[in-house]
Amino acid sequence: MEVDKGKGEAEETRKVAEADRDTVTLKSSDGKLFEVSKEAAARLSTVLAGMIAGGSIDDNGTDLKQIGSEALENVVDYCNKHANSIPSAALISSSISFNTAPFKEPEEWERKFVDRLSHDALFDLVEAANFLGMERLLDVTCHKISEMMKGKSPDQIREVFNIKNDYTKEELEEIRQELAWAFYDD
Amino acid sequence: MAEAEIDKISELPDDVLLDILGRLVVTAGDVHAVARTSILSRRWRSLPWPQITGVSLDVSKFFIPSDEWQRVRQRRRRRRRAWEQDQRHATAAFTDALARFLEAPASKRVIEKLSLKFFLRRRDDLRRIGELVGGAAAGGVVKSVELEIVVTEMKSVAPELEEQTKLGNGERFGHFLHDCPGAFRSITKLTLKDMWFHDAAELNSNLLRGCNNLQFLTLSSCGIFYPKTLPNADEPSRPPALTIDAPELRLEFLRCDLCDIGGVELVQAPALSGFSYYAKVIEDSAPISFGCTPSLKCLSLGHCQGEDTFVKLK
Repeated sequence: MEVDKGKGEAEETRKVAEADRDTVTLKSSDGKLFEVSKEAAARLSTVLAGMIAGGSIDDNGTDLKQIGSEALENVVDYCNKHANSIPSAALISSSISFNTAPFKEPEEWERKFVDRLSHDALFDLVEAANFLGMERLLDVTCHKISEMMKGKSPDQIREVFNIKNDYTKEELEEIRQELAWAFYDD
Repeated sequence: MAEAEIDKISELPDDVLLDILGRLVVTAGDVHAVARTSILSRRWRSLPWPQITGVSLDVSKFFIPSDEWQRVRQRRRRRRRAWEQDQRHATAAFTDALARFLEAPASKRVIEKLSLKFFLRRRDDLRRIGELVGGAAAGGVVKSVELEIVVTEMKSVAPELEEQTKLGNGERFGHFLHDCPGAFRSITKLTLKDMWFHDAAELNSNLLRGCNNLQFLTLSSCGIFYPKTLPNADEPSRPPALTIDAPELRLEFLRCDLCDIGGVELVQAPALSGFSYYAKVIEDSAPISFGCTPSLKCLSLGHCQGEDTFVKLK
């Protein structure tokens, strides 16, 4: 069913793509097609920029087998929102990232964008952003995750992220002793 | 947000997890929060700690106040030994944390500034710290290093042992400098306190020549050893001067506070833009002489008059 729907979308997308070359079509691991601004994709993702420049973009939908449809939808949504949020004059300079400010603060709309995501969707998006080389989106999502960890004890962090404690009692004791300074706070 | 059904965070690649941890250090303000993630699971312990652009480690943050310490504190005799032991533990924990911070995999991100504050302890301890710093600087992981070397408080040293203690400090520092040339080459800021050097050359040439990236140097209560009165001399001898004669030196700021030196001779210090000198006593001879110092913009001179009063000349 999903694939059929995807095909329908593909035909529609192809028509649009033929009429307007400003977009590229991306295909998720489960065969769904998404259309994204070519300019925004190239600017925000080093991998997509490479594919566009190298001519390996398929008009019928470029296969992104590692990314599920939900994550890809968020990626595309983010790119399109980004395309609308920045005046075009600033595009060129924003595509070059300097290492001077290592951690850029997310903008208000970016905060809202990640805040509305479910836990699983957030992590799928981090993986997609990492795979596509989307530095800015990675910044925004990693910022969100670090905020979720902030001020929490190891037990609380385990609970939030469902991290399984695979240490033995002896090992835990050993680490606690080794890093005793880290567990003491004024 | 709903809690996780499955553990997705631990499946993220190393560099993404390191990025998250790096942010945690920046926002939480210290390395403790990151160190604590080691206890989450094996996956987290295997992570080399993040390369963040500014790492600041202060040995005083690595002390673990123990009940034992509280108890021995009451008893004067055992106090010193307990302090030594605490110092040793703190230095070991400090060095481990430094090693974990520096062992992060090579990537495009580097530590712009590494600030370290540690004790002038045994030669082996210092060498380990120096080798870590030198290795990281040589590998391009660290761009600039700031060192503040902490020595035993002079007020806890008997007055008759003060000179000997300061000379011992100077000797230990000399060994450190000799053992770890790589570390000193990367230093941009150095703060030394209560160190006396055996001869002027050690301070004048060894230190300044060894630290060819040094931009900020603070010498506080440091000095150069000299015989108090020469035999067959009428006047008391004057300690040797600190001579800065290095055309290739990048030193921009020099601060000498209450040093036992016979003034400062700025023969060649092309990059020096700020110089601050607080003398212990007023002498008849001029404390400072200027040679080639084309960049000098800010000069602050003063002396300690009577008890604790500073008189600022400019």
